Amino acid sequence: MKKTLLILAREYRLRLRRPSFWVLTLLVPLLLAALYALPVVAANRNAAQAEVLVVDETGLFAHSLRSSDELSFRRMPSLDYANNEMDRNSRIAAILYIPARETTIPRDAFLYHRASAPPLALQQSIAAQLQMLLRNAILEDVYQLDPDVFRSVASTDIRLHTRDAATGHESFARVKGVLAAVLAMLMVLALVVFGVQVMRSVQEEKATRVAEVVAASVHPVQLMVGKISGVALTALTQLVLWVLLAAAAIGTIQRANPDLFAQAREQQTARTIATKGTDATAQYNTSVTLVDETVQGLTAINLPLVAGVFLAFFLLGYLLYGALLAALAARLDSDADALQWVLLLLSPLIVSLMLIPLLIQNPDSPLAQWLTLVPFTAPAAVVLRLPFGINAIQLTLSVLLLLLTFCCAALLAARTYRRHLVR
Amino acid sequence: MLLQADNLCKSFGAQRVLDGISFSADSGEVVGILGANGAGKTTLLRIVNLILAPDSGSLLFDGHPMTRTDLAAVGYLPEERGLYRRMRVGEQVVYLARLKGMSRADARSEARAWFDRLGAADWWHRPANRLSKGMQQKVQFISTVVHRPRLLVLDEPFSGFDADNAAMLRSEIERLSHSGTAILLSTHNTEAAASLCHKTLQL
Repeated sequence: MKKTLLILAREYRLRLRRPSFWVLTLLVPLLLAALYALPVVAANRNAAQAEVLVVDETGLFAHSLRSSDELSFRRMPSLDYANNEMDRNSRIAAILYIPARETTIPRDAFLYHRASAPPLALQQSIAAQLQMLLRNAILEDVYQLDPDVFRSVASTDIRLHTRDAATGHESFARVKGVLAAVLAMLMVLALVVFGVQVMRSVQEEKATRVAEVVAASVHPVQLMVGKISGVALTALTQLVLWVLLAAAAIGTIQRANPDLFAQAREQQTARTIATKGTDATAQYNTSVTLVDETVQGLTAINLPLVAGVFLAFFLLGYLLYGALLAALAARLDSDADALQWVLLLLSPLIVSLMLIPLLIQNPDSPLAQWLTLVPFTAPAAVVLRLPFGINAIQLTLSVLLLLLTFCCAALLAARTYRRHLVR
Repeated sequence: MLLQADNLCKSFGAQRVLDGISFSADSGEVVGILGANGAGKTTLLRIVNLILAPDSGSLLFDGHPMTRTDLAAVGYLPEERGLYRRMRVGEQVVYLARLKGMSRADARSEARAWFDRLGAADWWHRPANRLSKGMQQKVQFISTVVHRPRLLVLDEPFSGFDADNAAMLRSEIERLSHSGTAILLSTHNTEAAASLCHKTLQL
């Protein structure tokens, strides 16, 4: 045990001293914070109003198109006139041309631009307005219906509440699905990154020929367990630092720019209303409900339990894959061969990743249950099912099978290591 | 008798590498293991270090069947030797000594003494990849003897060593032998064996 701890401590200290560890530890939270903040900043930068010239030969739309903070419309008498105007004024985003048709209902509209096409959001906003105006025209002219009545009916919504029959609590399937997918992807990514680190460590020990000296002092099992545990501790340190630093960075950005984020939220709501073209209050309520649902959903989930089980299965999964990758590194001499075998060994994780959308649809399906019990897919499958609730017996069985498989893998790795490091 | 090997046999597949090898080494004795390339010298020394297990035969250490616990009293310098490239050499020697069962304080003071003795005190904080090959050889030797082994196993110790280090190694082998360390050394250099060894084993 003492020797295992010595090996563990060496591996841990060595990694913490590497500049690459600290660069990655600092860079990932910054990247996450940037991913969080950049869309908001970009949304605010794009907030400058775009002008669109309208040539409406049908006469149905031009008068009713509504300008907003992001978009303004200016009527033009003809396409040639509009073209000349766009040539003169580079700030004009596009020309909206609705040609006359023989039938009363126009089916096509054209958006002409110069250098680059207008942003997709702008196109969607214009299309939504045209669709709404066209629908209103059909309701009034063809069916003689009051569009306001129709709008009121169309915006009526019903929410299907999925609740636990015993507790009466909301299920929040949508929020849980998103959380499950994020957890599963994070698990696969972490297992691959840190598993490969163990492999590289064994390869280095083999290449520097220290392995034989160490094998003359410690049992191969101690050597492997110490090495794998050392990298595991490094991984946990890095994961914890990533979470803490990312939370701190995002918190700092939010505190430094409270107006920016509030403005972005308002713009998102306004964009939703413009795009859907239905009753503003109803849409606003829907947006608020979505936010509420997310907050309530996350509150309803036992996050400390999810974090605990995630860490436990990360450790177990990492130990299993780490042991197998260590054995592989001991067995193979060529890096080219190693890459192919690594891909084969990691294929259960890749399969888990591909099955995420399917498993989220039905987290209690027989496939999901089998994947929970297969040790090679269990880490991803368990964290994916966790937010939805997972049978305690299955969870316990999964842990036991994973532990048992790890023990076998560690013994195999140790035997392979001893047999192949001395040639 | 510190080490007693009786009738050791080892095969790799169909190839019989060791066939009924017997020898002994007592404290202070230098035993030379001679043989051409491929004769099984390295295999025999790996068996003594319990890295390989013999197919048959027995290995007694201090009168009892040798176990991994006994490895704390064995120092091993393999033929293909190396150091952790990025680890500071002082730390590295202490680490390897602790794997042999020494306490940290003991390992540090003994390692410091060896570094001073071999004129390597200034290298303590340098990583191995910042040392020349000759310097690394000295550090490798220190890591083999730092834990005060009762049995020293040296596999082709002079191969790859420059002239200065070879002379240093020869004098240290003699000194350690005089102080009671049993030494097994494999070599295909009969001249070196004749001048250093009290007895030889031809494979």
